[in-house]
Amino acid sequence: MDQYLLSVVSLMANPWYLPALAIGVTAGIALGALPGVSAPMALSMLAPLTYTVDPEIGFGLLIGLLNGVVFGGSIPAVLVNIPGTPGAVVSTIDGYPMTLRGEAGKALGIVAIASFTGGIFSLLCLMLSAPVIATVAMKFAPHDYCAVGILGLSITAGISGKSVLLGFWSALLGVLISTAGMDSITSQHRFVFGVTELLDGVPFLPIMVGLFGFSQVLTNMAESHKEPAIVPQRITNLLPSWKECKGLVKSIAQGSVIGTLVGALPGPGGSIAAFVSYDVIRRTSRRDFDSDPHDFGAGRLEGLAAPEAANNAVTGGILIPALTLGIPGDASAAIILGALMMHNITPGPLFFQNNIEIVYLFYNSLIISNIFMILIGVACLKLFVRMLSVSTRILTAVILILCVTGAYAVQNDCFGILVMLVFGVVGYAFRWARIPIMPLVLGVVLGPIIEKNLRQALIIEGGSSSGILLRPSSGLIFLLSVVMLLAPYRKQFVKSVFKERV
Amino acid sequence: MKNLYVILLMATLLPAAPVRAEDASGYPSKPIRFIIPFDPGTSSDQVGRILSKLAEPHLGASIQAVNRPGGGGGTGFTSIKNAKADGYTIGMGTASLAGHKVHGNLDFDHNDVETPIIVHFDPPLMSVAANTPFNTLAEFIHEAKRRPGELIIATGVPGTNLYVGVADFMAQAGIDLRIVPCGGGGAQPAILAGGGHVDACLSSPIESRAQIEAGNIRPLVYFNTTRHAGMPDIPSLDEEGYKATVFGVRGIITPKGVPVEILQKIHDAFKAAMDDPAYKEFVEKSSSLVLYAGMEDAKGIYNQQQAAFAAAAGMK
Repeated sequence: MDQYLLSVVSLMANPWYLPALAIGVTAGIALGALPGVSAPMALSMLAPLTYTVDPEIGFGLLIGLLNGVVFGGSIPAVLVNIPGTPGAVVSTIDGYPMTLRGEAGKALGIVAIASFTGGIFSLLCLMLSAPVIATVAMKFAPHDYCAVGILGLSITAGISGKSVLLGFWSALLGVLISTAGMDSITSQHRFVFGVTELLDGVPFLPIMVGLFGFSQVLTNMAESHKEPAIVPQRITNLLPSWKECKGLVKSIAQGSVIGTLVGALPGPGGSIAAFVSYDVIRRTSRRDFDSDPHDFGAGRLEGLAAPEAANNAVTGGILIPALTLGIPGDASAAIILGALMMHNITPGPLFFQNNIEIVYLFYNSLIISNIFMILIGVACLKLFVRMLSVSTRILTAVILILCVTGAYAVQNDCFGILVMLVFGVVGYAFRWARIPIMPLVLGVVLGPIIEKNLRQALIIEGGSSSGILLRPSSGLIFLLSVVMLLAPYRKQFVKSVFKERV
Repeated sequence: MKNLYVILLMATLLPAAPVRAEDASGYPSKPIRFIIPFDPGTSSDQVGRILSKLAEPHLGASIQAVNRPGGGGGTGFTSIKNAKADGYTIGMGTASLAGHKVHGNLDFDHNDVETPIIVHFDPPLMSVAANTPFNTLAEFIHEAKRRPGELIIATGVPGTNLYVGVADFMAQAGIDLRIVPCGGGGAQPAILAGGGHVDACLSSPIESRAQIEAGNIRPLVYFNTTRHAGMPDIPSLDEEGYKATVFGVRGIITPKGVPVEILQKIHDAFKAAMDDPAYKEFVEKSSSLVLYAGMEDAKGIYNQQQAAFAAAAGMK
């Protein structure tokens, strides 16, 4: 502990450390708010800086950025129904309806509070139990990762709204799309049709930008004959009330735990943490309509707080496998990993013993950047909300430009724009036919994880599926998936059994 | 806020600025894109990043390293090959580029790109899980012969030097192992072995180092003709009576048709980077080796590697 405080003092002695963090957080919020600029992209722009400056400043900047991007991504999700980053997809479900009823400020206030809490919680977990989590994660076999992927898919029902069956078709389509590209086990080409850009699969970010951004542009255009309804936003009283905050304790706590745990699993990574936590809070919420009269999907505060806590808790979570196993939980962690290695620091089981200064640097930067995030976020609330007073026509044009540039910038490649346009039309058609879009995203994210790990597990088991199903840990997770899948039908089932007896 | 958006928008548009026609004497007059066809943190990534950074001052332009992983390097190789041959898109080449065509994964190879310089030589290390009883390669082979098709080894995906190395070794030793391919390179093979999920792994020394130090895996044999000075206790494959044939040979590649003067400038800058003490230190720490070859010899080395890949594929 003394050693830790000492390191804090020496960090603060570096006059550029705090400014670097503040710049990182601010730039992160701004970049994250642009649809198509994801955390990995923002990080890879700045990562080369860490090679030339002090590690304190470099990693401070990176971690500040990482935290800022996650928060920034939720701003357009809440304000205009377009997630700035993949982690913010779920925040549109209950965040955007809040904006529609004039509570954008309160929604963003909740985002800031939940994000801060989730971030700090996962940091505490990182500090207290990273080596333990790392040992457990190493005991996770491909069997288990496959099972976790299936568990992730089993929440499809929970995020499909009213049309559960269509939700499953949507998820299946997502899985199908994810099979394009070079086979992860045999290197054979699948659904590539000679298009070299497809070798690495259909790029995920342009899919996202198309499904959410461009399809919103199309929707706005289709409805342009109507008088655009600008919802008057309450500018005063932006933060949620104390009573409302108390009602959110459970959802934020749940989201923080789920985000940290899911983030700590290398592979499924952070992208599904928000999905999982949304589903769990929706199932376990007592739906106390006194403190909040709205249901899930109609702007319920809990439905925004839980995924927001989760997607920020992921930042601490993903660093655990990255630092202790050398396996990045997602692309952002991979870039931080790469930057560490450039400083000749090898992540691995002994990382926490051998590199204590770097470990402390990470802790400090995470704490301080979370503080900066909530300060900057709350200070700029009014500014963000004021964006909504821009007329829909101008906003639509700006969003269109952002979608195109964002899709292009993923790989500096026009192919990204093509994918974005195609999926924009898909998203628009889905909205028109009332097919849920979220499960499609889930399928695209989880498909490759399930497939690769299933096939690795099958090789290990010599082709026998019983080895995968009967392994205690994976078997338990599979069982849990079945329970999750059937849970919504529990009442119906009980009722039908009861009737027969009578 | 609107102003901020305009600025950010322009920032995202910058990389899209149109490419101006360039003559070789003015090269380089703008930043160079350096494509690394593997994930961040992998052995190829580290070599690429350190060399591209060290080469910057010698080339006189900023070199921006970009990862484009996928398909055992196939995605990145393809985007380098298809880039404009103006010297502003270059990247990391590996022996797998020669190997993928043999395997039928790609329809092009090192003959369809230019290789101004070869920079790095990285024979892999085979290790076994700490919970296995094997202390020597002979013990491992003995057990593999007793239980054909039951011992499991984790390594790279088909077409990479790692996978072909395992296949070649199996053929030579007359054993049958179950191979678990791990995409993207990196730490996964060593972690699968370290967690006790597979019996053995074959990966670059730098990618297994953390698990070796933690005592989760035990190195058995270095897949090279001689021992490595940094790992004097680990026998080479040739000492054990087999032949190491396919290696991780890394070079800098460019699209076909880049003018010779530009290739020479790239060669000179990366040669100077290789002579930098920082690179030597990296090579020593990563238990790999420096291998230099200029433009004339590079093709020969990759041809020889391709023949070895083909032979290994044929033997299987």
